[in-house]
Amino acid sequence: MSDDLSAVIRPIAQAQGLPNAHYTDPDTFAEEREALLFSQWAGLATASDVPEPGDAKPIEFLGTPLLLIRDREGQVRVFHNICRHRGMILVSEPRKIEGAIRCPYHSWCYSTQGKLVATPHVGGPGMNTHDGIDRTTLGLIEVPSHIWRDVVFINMDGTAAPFAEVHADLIARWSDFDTDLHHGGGDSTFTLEVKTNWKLAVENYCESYHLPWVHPGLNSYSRLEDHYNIEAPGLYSGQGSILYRQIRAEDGTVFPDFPGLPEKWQTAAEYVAVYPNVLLGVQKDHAFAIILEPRGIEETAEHIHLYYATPHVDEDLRRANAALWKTVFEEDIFVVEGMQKGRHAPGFDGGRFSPAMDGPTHCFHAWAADRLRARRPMAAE
Amino acid sequence: MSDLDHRLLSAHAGADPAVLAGLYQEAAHATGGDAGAFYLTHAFVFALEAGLPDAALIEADLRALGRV
Ligand code: FES
Ligand SMILES: [Fe+2]
Repeated sequence: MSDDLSAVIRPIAQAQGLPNAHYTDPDTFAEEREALLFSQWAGLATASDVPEPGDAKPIEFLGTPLLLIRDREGQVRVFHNICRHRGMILVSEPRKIEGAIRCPYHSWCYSTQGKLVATPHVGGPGMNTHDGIDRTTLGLIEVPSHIWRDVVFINMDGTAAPFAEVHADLIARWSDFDTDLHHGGGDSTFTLEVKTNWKLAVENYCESYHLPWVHPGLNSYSRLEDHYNIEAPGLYSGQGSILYRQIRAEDGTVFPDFPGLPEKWQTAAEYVAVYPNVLLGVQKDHAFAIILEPRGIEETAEHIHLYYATPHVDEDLRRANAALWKTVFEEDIFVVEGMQKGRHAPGFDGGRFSPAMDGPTHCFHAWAADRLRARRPMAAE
Repeated sequence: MSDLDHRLLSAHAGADPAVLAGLYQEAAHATGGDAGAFYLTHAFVFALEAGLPDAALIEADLRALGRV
């Protein structure tokens, strides 16, 4: 089937969205896995998932079994969750590694830093070395990772430039918020399972066009005309608001602000999709991160985490805030699921964009199309 | 050995590596020779898993026996 991406990268007024295959076709999904997710800095989890040294959590990422672990020195690392001997899964449920990771099959042992530290009976019963087995070359396979704003980003294929280099622009843009983030804890994280391709969740998140229709409640304090588009081609896009109004309890309680913020953030907020799959929001008194976990072509888990300026904030307000965001994000489910269903209409041309309102979405599509085109043989276009 | 065997089996069922490390050390000392090295290997593995300081001592014992 022809998959003409040149229409996607036209100027927005003439552009079309990504063709149906990008939402429904297994081969295209596999192509995008490599081009859009494995070759980039993709969000996997949060560092708060493994708060203590030794905490380990198995996570599958697009079929690859991974192990998120905080090593003995406190550094968060990501490994392939498999043994270098016969490829057995090492850790099958979240737990604390007290000393070494022992493979449940033949008990080869790895340090939390991934070093192979014991190969019992490898040279015969009671003989734990063999000339053919060089332990120094058989550590766990580590996936490059980088933590920013508590999100654990990974580069599965190891080809990306360092995260801080790739995202220097956004890091600088939000340097005012470069301060300690405190995860709100158990009541400040939730997962929404959505029947949609992960890209539709990005596309919907980064535009404000739908706010007055899909989130009429938001409109009372976050009006469409107070929003502006954010577009950093090839990197991120989203929306900003110049009239952020913080949540306030009836008795006037509010969350403390992040320290040292310049005046403009008193009333401003920004919401950005960091390509490929991380959705971030910054506001003066709290922040959030959403990690989109692509579970299949038409299946996505949205992992939402809320953060505050101090380790302890008013509990009732914190719960109310989580409930508020949950309502907002749930309001988006019917549209991302509805657009997904729409992608099964044969011949849909990818749709058109509002040149004024859909810039951030088109920016994301153009990024995807560019990445895909760069990897396709010339003849295919 | 049968009492120790029994304790080893139930320790495997309980899956506490620190307990297993202790029992295998006991077994190693009661046995010696190749069989002793076999048990000492297990003691080493479980001591590593449990993060016991003993792991380094057991490793030294294994090294002295030419087993690591
Ligand atoms: S597969 Fe892990 S020790 Fe054999
Ligand atoms: Fe929305």
